[in-house]
Amino acid sequence: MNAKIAETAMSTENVTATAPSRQSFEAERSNWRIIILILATLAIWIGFHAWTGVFISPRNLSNLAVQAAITAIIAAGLCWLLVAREIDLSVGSLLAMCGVLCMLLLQKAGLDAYLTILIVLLVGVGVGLLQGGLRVTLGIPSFIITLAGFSWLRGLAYVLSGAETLSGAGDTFYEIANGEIPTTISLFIILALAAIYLHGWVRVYTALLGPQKYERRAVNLVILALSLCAAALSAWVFATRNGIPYPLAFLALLVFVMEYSGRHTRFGRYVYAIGGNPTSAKRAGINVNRMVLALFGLMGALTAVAAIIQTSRLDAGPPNVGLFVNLSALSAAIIGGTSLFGGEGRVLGTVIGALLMASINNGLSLAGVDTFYQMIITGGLLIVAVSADHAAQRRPR
Amino acid sequence: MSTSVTSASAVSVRDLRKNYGAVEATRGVSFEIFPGEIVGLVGDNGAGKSTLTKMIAGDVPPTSGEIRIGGTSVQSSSTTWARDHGVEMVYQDLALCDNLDICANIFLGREITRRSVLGYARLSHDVMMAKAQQLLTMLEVKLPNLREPVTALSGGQRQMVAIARSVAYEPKLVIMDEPTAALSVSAGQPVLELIRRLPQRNVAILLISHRLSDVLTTADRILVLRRGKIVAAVRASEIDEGELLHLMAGINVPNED
Repeated sequence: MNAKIAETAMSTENVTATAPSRQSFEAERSNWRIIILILATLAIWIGFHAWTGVFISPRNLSNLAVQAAITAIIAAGLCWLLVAREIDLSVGSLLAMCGVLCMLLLQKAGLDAYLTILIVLLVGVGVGLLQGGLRVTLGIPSFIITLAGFSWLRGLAYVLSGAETLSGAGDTFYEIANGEIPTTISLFIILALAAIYLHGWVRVYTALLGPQKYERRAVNLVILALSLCAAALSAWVFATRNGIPYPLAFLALLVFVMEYSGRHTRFGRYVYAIGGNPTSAKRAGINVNRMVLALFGLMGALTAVAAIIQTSRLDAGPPNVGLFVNLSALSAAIIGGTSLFGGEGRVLGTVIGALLMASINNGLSLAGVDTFYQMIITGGLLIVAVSADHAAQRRPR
Repeated sequence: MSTSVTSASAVSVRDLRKNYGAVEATRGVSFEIFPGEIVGLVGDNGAGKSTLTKMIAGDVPPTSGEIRIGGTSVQSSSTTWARDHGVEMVYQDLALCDNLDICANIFLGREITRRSVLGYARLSHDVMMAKAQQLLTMLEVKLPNLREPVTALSGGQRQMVAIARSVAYEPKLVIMDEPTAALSVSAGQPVLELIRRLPQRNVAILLISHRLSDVLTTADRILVLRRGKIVAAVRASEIDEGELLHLMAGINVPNED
């Protein structure tokens, strides 16, 4: 017994001093996770290309990007909610309700596209704040509040539409999801981003040239290689035949803003702090309720954006759309490394998770595999991704 | 023991009472703590220790009585007010965010930012890092990479991070609620040593602990609370564990004070 105490004393006294560095090991780990996700996605692309012969083509990849963007935009909002230990099960229903609202405003009320977009965004934020407000004031778990939303918002979508699908959104509205940034401007954007990225990369890498940082250098070299590949691929896909689709441009901006603010603003840090330990966050003077409210507002706004894109893409607002969006957005977040228990997860990983799932569905469709098999494969993938993650976490540091 | 309120004391409490219905949690408690002093607060379960500390920390409003922090009378009970006026709390349950790194935990809720070109407040990582390093060096706390999440730390190291955080903004009073309760005796030692170094920073410390030996070796003075009243206030050097136990349990023993 005494020996045991002595042993624990030894281990707690084992304090070593190492030089501080800019990146945490945690960030390192999430970087590796994202690299593996990207490699898995690439492997899937190559596999489907070998199978179908048409997967890796500007036309299909551009189509895939817009397909993935709708889920990814929702999943990005869900990612931060999950990080802060909340959840939203109502996104699919809100998506449908906002879609119906778009068509009603455009056709029945005769509003123009811009006003419609503004109103639908406000409604999305409003619903988000309402659910967040109920969550915060009543103290009922968000699972239950949004489970209710899952039902009443879908009901509202049917009531508003009279269970009918309105179609024909008009030219301006149709452009949102089906329009593209002109190819020359697209090429310029891609090259400019690549140049800015390269510049930043060189700075980070030179800071790592000291001894004992081989592992970090490896990560950075892999990220560089992947980023350059991505730049070349996007230049080929989005600057030869078609430009960058607007939904993809929005998604890219969203990922950048969320990843950046996650690291460099109080708001982002508090999202993670709340997820890590809500009590500590509160004791540290963080207004947890206001943060949760803001996150639900953001979730509503992003769902409204997704609904606008979806409606524009379909050129219609069916009330039964997005029945599985809750689950696919949740799957994307989890495959992307977001923890269901909070405190962990990144928007970039989540978005790549969405891309990975969309790639599989797209590839299986191209190969002529039945939708039912797609569902089975998505389920299997979820289990594989999560168990791989668990195995990686149990590995001793 | 002097009960007069002077502006020199870090915290002074006068005739503080708290009733929960018919239950009197504290029945007229008065004491003061001066800067650079460690005062131990001991008492059996239900003696009113946590009610007392919660009132000082602004968590619970007193039924009657006065609390003065650095000469300013507390008008409304709020933890934010107390924090802004220099009352910090260290909890027994290692209240850190495990997923954040050491530096982020030290500055949690008080991040240093600067205006960026686009007008938003950007976290100044380098400034916070340098300040955290400086703080820990000053407190003689050695920790691995400050960019590491606190999950990687031992319980004792985490508690040292929590204590370092509590003194980062030059508080007047730090209330430590069982800071070593969740730690093994050996892991608690470096934490107690750190607490003993804090008075050099001119901060007053109220140390609550069930481990009487910890209180006896760490505190300058000890207040004994029994059934909501302070029954003894003694110098730690003038009492031993046995006598302290008697005071807490309410068995009469001769007291020189």
